[in-house]
Amino acid sequence: MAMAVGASKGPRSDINITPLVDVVLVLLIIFMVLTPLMEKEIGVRVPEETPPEMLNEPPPPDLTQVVFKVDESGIWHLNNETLTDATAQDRLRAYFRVAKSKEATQGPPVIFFDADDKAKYVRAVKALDAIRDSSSGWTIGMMTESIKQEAQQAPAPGAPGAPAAPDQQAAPEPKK
Amino acid sequence: MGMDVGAKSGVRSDINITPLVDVVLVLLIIFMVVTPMLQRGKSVELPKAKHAVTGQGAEPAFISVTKDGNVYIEQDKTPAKQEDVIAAMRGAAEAGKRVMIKADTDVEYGKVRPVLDWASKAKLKGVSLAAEELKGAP
Repeated sequence: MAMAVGASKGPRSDINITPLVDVVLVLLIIFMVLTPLMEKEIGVRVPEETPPEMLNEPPPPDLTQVVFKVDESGIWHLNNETLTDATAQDRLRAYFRVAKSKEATQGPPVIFFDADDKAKYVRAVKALDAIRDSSSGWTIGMMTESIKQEAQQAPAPGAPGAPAAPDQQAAPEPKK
Repeated sequence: MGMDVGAKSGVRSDINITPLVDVVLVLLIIFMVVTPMLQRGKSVELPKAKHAVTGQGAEPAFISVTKDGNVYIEQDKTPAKQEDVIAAMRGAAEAGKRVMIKADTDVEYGKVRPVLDWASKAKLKGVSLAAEELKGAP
């Protein structure tokens, strides 16, 4: 349109970028709105299906396992210890250091996770989040079958593998 | 600009709607593309977690566990049976997709455990638990 004015200013040769800016701004706003809506997630591992003949293979003798359990009322247990939300981080970090120091012989640190059937899912996710919070190096393995009470054989505190509990914390003694 | 031309064609008083139409069309197309991706699986109230991350890789397959304990594949209307869920998970595993489990925050863990067990049966190595990112955490 401006070209019809006459020769006083010469032809306008710059591109009109206003529509481009419009479209880009709209795109920006849309992605700003949508990005928080994407599904966030916590990755966990599930047991691999084992052929039946391998089911009863005993674990290596010095294998230390870290088992995290959420009980019926939502209270956390780490092996034989009962955790509170306040102490959980310290204890998880202590276990992680032990597991990490044995990485050469036992592979990357794995924590087994189980929750009681009656526990609220939100408590379980909170626990998973706490584990991730203590260290991002954990591989979280979900147990798909509940631990049977009589078969429970978690290492006692003081047994090889369990990091020393801080003095002020009364670690529950295993019943003999 | 057009007003400088002179009095020959008079003042143009109509608004140029071409840029408006451009923008609206772009908006329309974007929402057409994005809406199916926006809400995957059933609508559930997700638990909040500090360390929830955006997953990498292809779009995951969704399995939802609703408040009443029913399991749904993607956005199915009816609750799925165990065999169907395992079949769906196996399909996802073969296609190299992740499996995202969306469980309601109020559901009992006993309703989620079987789904993990089925994932194991479907020869998946791991699953993703959907969570909402906790904002403003100290």
